[in-house]
Amino acid sequence: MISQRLIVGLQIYKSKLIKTEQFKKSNSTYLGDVLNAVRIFNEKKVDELIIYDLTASKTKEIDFLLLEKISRLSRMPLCYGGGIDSIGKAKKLSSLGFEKLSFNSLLYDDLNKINQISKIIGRQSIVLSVDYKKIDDEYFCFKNSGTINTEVKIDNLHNYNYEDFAGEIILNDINNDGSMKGYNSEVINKIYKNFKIPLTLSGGFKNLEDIKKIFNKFDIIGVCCSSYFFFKGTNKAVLLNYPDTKKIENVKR
Amino acid sequence: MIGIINYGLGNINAIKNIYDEYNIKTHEISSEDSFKPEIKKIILPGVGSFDNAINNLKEINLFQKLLEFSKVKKNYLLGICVGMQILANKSEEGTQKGLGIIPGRIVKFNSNYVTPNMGWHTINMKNTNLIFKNISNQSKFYFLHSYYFEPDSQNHILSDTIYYKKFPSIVFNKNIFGIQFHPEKSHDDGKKILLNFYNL
Repeated sequence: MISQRLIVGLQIYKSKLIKTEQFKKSNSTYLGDVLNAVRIFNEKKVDELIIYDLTASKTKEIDFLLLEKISRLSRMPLCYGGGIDSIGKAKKLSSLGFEKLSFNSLLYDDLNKINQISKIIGRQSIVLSVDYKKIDDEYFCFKNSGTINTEVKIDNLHNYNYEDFAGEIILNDINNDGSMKGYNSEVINKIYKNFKIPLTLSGGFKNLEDIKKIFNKFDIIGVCCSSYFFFKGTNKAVLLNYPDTKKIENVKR
Repeated sequence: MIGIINYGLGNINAIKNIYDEYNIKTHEISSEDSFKPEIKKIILPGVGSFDNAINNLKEINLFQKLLEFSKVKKNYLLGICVGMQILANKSEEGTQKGLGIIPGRIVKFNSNYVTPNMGWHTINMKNTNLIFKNISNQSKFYFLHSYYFEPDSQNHILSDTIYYKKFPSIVFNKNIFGIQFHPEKSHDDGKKILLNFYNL
């Protein structure tokens, strides 16, 4: 069975669209208005849009007003992550039109809470966003926007039976975030077969050829890019873009 | 005017947004009292589990009300995702009885499959119907589900889709429609489905 998604990832910081490098806000590029970007990607008929609010992730205060505006502009699947720590917030986001909610730090701090939310909105709507980094020769999962090592090895991730309460795992390569150096498939090559839920890859994709390699190799997979859809040329001029349907069909199987 | 059932589950706003875009009035139905006699078309959205959806409907006294509504020939009902699944008689996901207005049951995808089925898949139309107006066969729509509708009769299938195996993506019974995918999240073709429903 083949089922492949090419996803656009947006990062919001202080209500503006940015793109980080290696998860660091100090290394980030300011990209402009969030709603304008949402409008453009909706017109380009993207497979899916993921929105991470880096501010909400820290303050736990979700900008529902902005998210409602985003939802009003969207005729595409939406996933939101950042500061979701209660059933109330989850229900509100789902009624606003975000059918997938993404969790990161809560995965290590309060798994039970994710479980409770899953029982209400359904496991298909729960996305686990896993940030990882290589230390010596092992890959470890990080929390709090990539700042704290949880000591959980990515090789052991499947032992947590995430299938029971989650519908997707997004794997974010912290070191390659924003690098556009090309995707490092070392981790996915190792762990793909361990999972019975859809996996999505993010971090370092540089062009369609790079994306095609992943689609050629894995049947059920999502690829999430940011920089590649934001920047053009060697001097990285900001130009929001998404390949047209024909080009994408050539890349997917 | 289109009625949208609000029983605390489902992305009602995503559906409302589309009708707003075309200046079509929507009315949220969240209790027996908010049922308006002039509403002849109702959308039943839904996320979450089968039993949870049924319980929530019953809690606000809309279970019986929807049964009565669907018996009137000139009324139209459209269930989306879990809203579609509760149109069936029962589900492997729970113990509650469904509305039972499209005869069938909800079954789980084989546990060897990667689930949920998440992504864009083509629909293969089995019948002509006004709900398909201006939409070409094999168009793609966005799916997000682990259970699917197995109707008692093949005659209730309007389209099917393949995820490992063939499963019904739209079911119907006269004036009642059930859609497994998310038309409100399927760009232009999804919009057309919702507009076609309005124009029935």
